[in-house]
Amino acid sequence: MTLIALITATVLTLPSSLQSSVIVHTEAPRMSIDLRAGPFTPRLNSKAARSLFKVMYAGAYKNLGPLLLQVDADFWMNRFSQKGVYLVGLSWGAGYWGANGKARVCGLDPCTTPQSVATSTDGNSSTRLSILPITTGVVGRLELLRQWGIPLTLHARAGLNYTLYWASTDGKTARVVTPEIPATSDSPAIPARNQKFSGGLLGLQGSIGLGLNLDWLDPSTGHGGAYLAGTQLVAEVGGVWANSFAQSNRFDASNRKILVQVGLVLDLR
Amino acid sequence: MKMHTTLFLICMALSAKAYAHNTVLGPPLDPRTEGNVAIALTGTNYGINADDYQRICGDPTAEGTEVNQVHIQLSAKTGSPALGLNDRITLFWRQNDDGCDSIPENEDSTGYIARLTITTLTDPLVLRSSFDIPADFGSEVLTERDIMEAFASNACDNATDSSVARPEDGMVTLCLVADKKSGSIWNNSRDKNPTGLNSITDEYFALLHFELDTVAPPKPSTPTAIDKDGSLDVRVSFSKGTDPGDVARWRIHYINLEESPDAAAPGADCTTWPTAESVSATTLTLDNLNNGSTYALCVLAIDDAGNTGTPSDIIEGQPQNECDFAECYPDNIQYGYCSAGLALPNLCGLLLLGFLMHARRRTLNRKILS
Repeated sequence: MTLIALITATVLTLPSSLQSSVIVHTEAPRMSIDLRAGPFTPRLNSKAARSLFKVMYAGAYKNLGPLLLQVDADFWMNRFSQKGVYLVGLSWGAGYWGANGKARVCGLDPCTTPQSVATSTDGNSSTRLSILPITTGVVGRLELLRQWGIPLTLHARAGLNYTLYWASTDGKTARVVTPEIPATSDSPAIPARNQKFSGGLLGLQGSIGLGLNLDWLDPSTGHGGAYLAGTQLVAEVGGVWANSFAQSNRFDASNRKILVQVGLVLDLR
Repeated sequence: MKMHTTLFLICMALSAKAYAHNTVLGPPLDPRTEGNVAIALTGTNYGINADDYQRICGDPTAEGTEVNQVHIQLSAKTGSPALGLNDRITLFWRQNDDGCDSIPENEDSTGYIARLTITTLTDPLVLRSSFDIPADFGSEVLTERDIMEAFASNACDNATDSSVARPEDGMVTLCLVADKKSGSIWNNSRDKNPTGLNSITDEYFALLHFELDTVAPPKPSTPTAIDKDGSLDVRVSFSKGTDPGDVARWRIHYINLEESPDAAAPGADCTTWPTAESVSATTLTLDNLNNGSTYALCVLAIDDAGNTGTPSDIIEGQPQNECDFAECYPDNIQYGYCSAGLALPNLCGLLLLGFLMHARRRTLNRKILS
């Protein structure tokens, strides 16, 4: 958010004489490569789970989660250029996020309550939670301000994602192992579990953003050569819903806070 | 005829491959594989450690002493060039890492073991897709004692007298070289890159290193044990000193002090405890231990010839109950990829649609430009 505000303020406060002298390259690209990064924290299934995450992983990252790195390939299908450039296309991408932490030592407690986790100490085993979203969807770009020499573009993207997640301990996939609980007069028997903590989730994602065409800074490096039609700095805000459409019994890898990402877009001829 | 020649060359080509990988030390020449030792000539070297030396060179009449015949097995590979009638193959020793370039002229020459001249294309070496030495190499028998004699003519003389120094540690090379006949003579040297008129084409060869290493690795530093969930990670450092070999793996001796409280008393011999061996020289982990129990352990190095070193000082460790993210996760959720069945067709369909539209747009653009 801060970056978006900074870019906007910078451009709007430019002297009008300078704005009018800006030469913005007008070639519409065939495709774009979008590289972005931003802090991410998974929502998880419950408050207790979030407490566990905070103790086990988030302590090392202060209030921001580790960075979610994302690469998207946008294929522009149609373009219009009436007093500006409008691009509409399809996008495919993948990202990766991982958090490192230490296993917990809870003494005699079962280590499954927020109280016991809060009073636990660092163990010697390292543990890592990984999330890998694969995305597809539609993407659009609007360069309406170009006619006035303002090098800002609006971006929007939305679509489906399939998000892989897994936890590992000392390099091996962590397992959920619970003994069988026999039936009682009040409840049926619960079978024993021995499952890998990993899976895949279907979900949605969407974002809007603002881009700064680098031709405004230096036209000679913003575009050129046989492939590069333009370069932009972008800042996007959005969200990821990765919980198999709100199924409560599935792992929730959605973002907990608004996802803010900054990055670079390379427009290709 | 062509097929016979090809089969022979298959073997020779493997030999060339073996030469390219001769720097990796392999397992020791181990007599415990029930009789004869079959060696696949795939480029590994063979170490002769202190135990092998004692067994091979000890009193042959003593109980348990067994000197084995050595078999070298070549298996098939494709390759060229062709060898023909009257070409010959020579098996010989070279000391240290002198290489196999100089072929002994006759049986009186240094290192000569055996020679086979191809007199017919039905020769076993040609007919078989694999062959072994000595079975397909005349009547020459190669024993482990022959290998020791290759190090020095009196290599075994001092074996039973521990006060006399053993032969110097070192390496001998067993060479198998194809020698083409050029006109009426053999050139008696391996010719890798011939040039000029009447030159000999490439002559393939195989070699196998035997390394004599009877020096045990020294005592490692005092190890440390990192307590983990049901396991102990053991860290140890090591200075190889005069040992010509490198540490190939580690052996950990360990014991549960709850079950044997006095086992680690001062002066205890840890080598009588149960053992676990590391799979590499860098990872030492004791698994399947009881959390909360105290274990005593010591570590010793095993070099690549199989010599076992002196055990380290004894230390203690206590595996602890640790809870990782999976075990601590408080919610009873369902794992797995079951929703992939729904997601993947959608993703693939969109992908296909996108490429089709992209291709259509490019086609239209080309039409407009043309």
